[in-house]
Amino acid sequence: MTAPVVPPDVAVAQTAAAVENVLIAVYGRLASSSMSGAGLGPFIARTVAQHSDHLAAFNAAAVRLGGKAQTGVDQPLMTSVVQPGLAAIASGLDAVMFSAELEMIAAATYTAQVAAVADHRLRASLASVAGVECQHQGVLLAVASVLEAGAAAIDGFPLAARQLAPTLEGPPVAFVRTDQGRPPTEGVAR
Amino acid sequence: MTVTRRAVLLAAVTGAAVACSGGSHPHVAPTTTTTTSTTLPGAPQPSGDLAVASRAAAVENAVAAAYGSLLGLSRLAPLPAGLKALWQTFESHHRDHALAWNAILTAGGEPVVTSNDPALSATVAPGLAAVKDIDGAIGVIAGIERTLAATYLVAVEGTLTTTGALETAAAIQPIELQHAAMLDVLTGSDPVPASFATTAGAITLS
Repeated sequence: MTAPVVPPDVAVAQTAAAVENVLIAVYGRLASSSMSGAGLGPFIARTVAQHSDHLAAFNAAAVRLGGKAQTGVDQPLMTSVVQPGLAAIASGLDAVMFSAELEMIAAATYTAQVAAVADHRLRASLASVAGVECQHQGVLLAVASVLEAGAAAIDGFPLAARQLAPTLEGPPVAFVRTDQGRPPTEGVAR
Repeated sequence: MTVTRRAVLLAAVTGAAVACSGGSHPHVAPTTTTTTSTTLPGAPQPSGDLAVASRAAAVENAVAAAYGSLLGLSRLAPLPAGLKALWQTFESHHRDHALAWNAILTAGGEPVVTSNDPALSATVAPGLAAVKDIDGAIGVIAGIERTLAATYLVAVEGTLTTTGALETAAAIQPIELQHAAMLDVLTGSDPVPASFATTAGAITLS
């Protein structure tokens, strides 16, 4: 028996919701571990609330377009990226950089579908949320720079410019790398 | 001008490649060797997505120039090394963004734009002139980044129609917000003030 075909826009919205569930789950894990120790507890709490808003928006879009709200995680993303990534975290800096990587994966997943979806409201949501994921990533990269410069933890925000590492390595990049996005159908669980 | 189907398809392919490159586009000649856009009396002006690309290239040039001005402000010296690296990186990003828009213009048969957008430059100049310290400089340039992000979000939501232009705007808009967040986190401004990006403060690209 063949599985029912999910319309492309529905698949995109459902996958986006499943990716948001991944981010919420990962921050939940990190909140009680090394990342919180780096001084990011309040940031994590705020960020989880914002991802919850994203989840609600994508699930609302999925339902509006004839799909189903996603309550589960994007399992391929969990298996191929999150589980090995979490296992490799050995410091607060590792946790921050891993979170930044996940934020970019989310942004890339949404950005890659902006031009592809037919529904204009979904297109607007994808672009809007991708921007906020990159804001999250930007904060994390700034924190990572301070930790790389030798700080054991941050003392809240704002960060002092003189605390930044003298050079930037790796991200940020000039464009959202859409090739880092997840396939638009992989998060559909039902 | 009339945008031919071939031009639109070329722009789509070019824009998609740019969006995936993470850096400057390999098929775009350095701006120092290309023709600048000069408005000739009676000359046809680009329309539609090409008009947006033309203005966006000029806006990106203006923002890159603004970073250059900040980096050269003697009253901010000595800049912390990390902040200097950040500004230099963001300046290069904006030049890459201009290259991406110029690639779309080239594919559409239009001249590339190497000049700075006069309206944005005129808006930015008083802010830069009033900068007294590093926090003030960060505040000015972060505001410009937010303006660009809002502008691109408007373009994605309702202005652009071709795949290449849509993909290019969509790949740039989050980066402008990332710039703003990395700057805001240094000044005490909320780096992620809302769950969804806003179109407030956008300028018109077409």
